[in-house]
Amino acid sequence: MNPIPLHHYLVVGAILFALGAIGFLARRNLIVMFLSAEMMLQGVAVNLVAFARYRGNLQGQAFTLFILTVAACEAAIALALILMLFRRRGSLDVSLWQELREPGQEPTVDEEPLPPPPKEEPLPELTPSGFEPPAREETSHV
Amino acid sequence: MDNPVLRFLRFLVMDNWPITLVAALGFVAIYLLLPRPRGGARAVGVAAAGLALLLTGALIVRAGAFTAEVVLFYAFSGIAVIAGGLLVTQSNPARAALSFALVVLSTCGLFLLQAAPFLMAATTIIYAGAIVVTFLFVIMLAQQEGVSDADQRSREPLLASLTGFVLLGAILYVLHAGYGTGDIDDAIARVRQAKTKPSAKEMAAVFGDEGHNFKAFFDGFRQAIKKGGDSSEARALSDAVDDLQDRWVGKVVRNDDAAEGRDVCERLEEVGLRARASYGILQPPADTRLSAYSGPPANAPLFPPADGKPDPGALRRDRDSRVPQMPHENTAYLGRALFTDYLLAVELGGTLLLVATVGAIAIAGRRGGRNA
Repeated sequence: MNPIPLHHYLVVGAILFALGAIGFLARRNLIVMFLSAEMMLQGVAVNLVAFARYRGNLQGQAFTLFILTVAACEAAIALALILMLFRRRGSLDVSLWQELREPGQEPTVDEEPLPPPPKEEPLPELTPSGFEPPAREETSHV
Repeated sequence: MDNPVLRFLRFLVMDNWPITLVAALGFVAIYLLLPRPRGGARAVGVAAAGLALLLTGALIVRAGAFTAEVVLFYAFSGIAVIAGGLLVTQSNPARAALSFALVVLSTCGLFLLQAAPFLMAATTIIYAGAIVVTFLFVIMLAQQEGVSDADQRSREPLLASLTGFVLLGAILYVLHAGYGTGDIDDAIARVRQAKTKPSAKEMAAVFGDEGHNFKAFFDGFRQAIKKGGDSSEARALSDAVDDLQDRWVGKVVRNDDAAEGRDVCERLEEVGLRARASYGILQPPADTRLSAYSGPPANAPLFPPADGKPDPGALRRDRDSRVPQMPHENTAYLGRALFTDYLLAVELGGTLLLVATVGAIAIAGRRGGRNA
């Protein structure tokens, strides 16, 4: 009866960390970037708890608790910052702040146009209510 | 053949093909699935992602038996990885926040499997409860109509996913070289199979080539032990394998002694399980200042001394797997550790929370519209 070895948990932590890193680098929405950074922290937490389990002591778990505390602080401050940035530019796009880049860097230019917004379904047209329908004349064919 | 480029290619393609294959498939999947204005080949991306996930489960994270623990581990980690991929590739931020909640919940399942119930509860409440709800509030406050640059475009999708998967491949290679238990698991499985055989001849047949002193089998066993790192424990275990090899060749095979053979097999299994439990055990410096409330120190000897005297400070170990047991009252022990060894850190954490609250109010509390 072999339990799950330490290696497997470390692999899961590494995958979460790498996915979070990709999300942080590639996404342009500030909120999604921040969520990706939080996912990297989750990968690290899996690692720490796995080491605590295989070492038989509580040091890794205590460390994870402090990660949780710092992540809560980070979320509070980052969300306040994101709200402020949104108020200034009216968008969550991080590329709108690219004048903060280093002097030698090329600016990001969006070449492909965005797809047109999805067309809204036209509302069905109903016959106006409140009118008396034209009555058919009763005719007899006797 | 001494060309470094050729050597590197051989290292990638022949020696470590499972890791290379998984990382390449994952790269293709994430590259194709990252949001972009002109929809790419999303079906190909989804197929590559599924294939990468299956191959990771089959080649890298390979579990022998299908016990409840293994099934739960696969379920939780599979959900975590799939939801993580969705979080990165989803263009709707509200859905991304929900998949982040899913990542957190399945990570909590992994915490529970690793004997950390308090952390499971705390993470569920703080992350999946408080933080994700706050995120959804901010998404609601900062809502944008229709398509936007922020959600429909990615910044350098090729370079970003290349960076991520080169990082992942390197980590996986290092983990596999240092902590992969495949070899020792195979050796343990062979010893267990041999233990069930009735006669010494049949046991020898399980171990392989007769007449060559069983060199291949025992050498492989020693190699697998050495893979966990060159610690004093590994050397002691390797010496134990030497003695057992002498006994096996000198007594069991020569005298066809089944009882002796079974004893040797049991010792070998014990040595194998100890070696497996010693994989990935770091040896920090000896002057750690933590008390016994945080569990046995990380530099404690891994196993009780060979003379059999019970050591009061030794780890209690699981009887079958030799993995150290965690204390049953996780919350109580964690609380004691926090309020003895980590008291200063707890106070600092509380101060940090207070400062962060003040800072968040100062940043977000300004009124005055866009030009504030």
